[in-house]
Amino acid sequence: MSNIRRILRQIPLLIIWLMASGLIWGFVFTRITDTDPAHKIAVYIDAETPGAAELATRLDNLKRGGIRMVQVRPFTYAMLDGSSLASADLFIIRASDMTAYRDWFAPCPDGFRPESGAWEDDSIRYGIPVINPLADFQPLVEYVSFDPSETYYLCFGKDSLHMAGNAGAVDNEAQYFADILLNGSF
Amino acid sequence: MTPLYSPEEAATLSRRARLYRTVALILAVAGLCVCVLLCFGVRPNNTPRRLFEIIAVSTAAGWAAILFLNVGYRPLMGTARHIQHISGAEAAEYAGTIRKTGKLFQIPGSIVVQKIRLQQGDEALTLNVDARKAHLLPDDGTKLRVQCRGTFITAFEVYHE
Repeated sequence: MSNIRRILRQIPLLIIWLMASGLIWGFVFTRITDTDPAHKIAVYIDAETPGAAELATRLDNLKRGGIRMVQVRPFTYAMLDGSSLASADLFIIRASDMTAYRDWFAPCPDGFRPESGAWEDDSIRYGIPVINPLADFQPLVEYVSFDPSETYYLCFGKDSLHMAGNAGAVDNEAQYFADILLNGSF
Repeated sequence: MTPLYSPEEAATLSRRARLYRTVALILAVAGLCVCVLLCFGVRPNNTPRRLFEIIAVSTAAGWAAILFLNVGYRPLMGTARHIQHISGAEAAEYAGTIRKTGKLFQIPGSIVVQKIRLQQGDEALTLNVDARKAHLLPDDGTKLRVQCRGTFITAFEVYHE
């Protein structure tokens, strides 16, 4: 049998290896590029986020204490795993979706940004405006493809381990990163 | 007699086969090492590209190893084992008129064989020859003396009555 024919007969095996390689390394990669929730800050954004990697890098450079990693992801990233979405530390949610995702939020910390025109439910503050189409200062606009007709609110995750007062909380770094996002100091 | 096999050929084929296998192993291990090293260089701003690079390196190394093993090592090793196997078979000599049947078949894990008919008067013997060596046999109708090991022709000589 000529070598050409031998090579052609390997094509099914080569295709199988291609698929296996993608699956195996995709799984390994996911495991090594992640860490446990107690050591990472996860920010999920209710919009397309073409600058997610860049924003994550900038926030990652500001991490401190026990935080090893900062993740910034659009909601679509968690399409197959809703649990990671619901347990995020910080959310950036458009105004029209705030009611739908209300159960994921913890109340804003007492005294946090009292002047900021928060989104309230039952007189409890849940969201601080972070992207406001009418504002001059838009620190996130180059990272997030937001809808110009909506205000976006920064919210704290009720299952976050980085909010003092939440069950099992290890520190209060969610508020630290919330300040950074609201100030644009990244 | 013109020999079709030699012990030296088996040794040469085995050596080449082991070289192919070594290269396949080196490629597989090198590919794995490169992928592991690439994993250490992951940063938040290069994650998708780094994953693509790792999959590309893994796929290329795997394909190369598969081809070296299945296209290089296995056929050579199969032929070498065939030669070693028939060397231990019972020897015999026959004479007759050759006719190549053109029928080929693959021995699993071994060589491709061509069937040869040796006409001895009213009887016909069916013998085998390594398909790679079949072109060395003379044309149909030639009178041949053949040496065989088992049913495989290992040497031949043209004779004229």
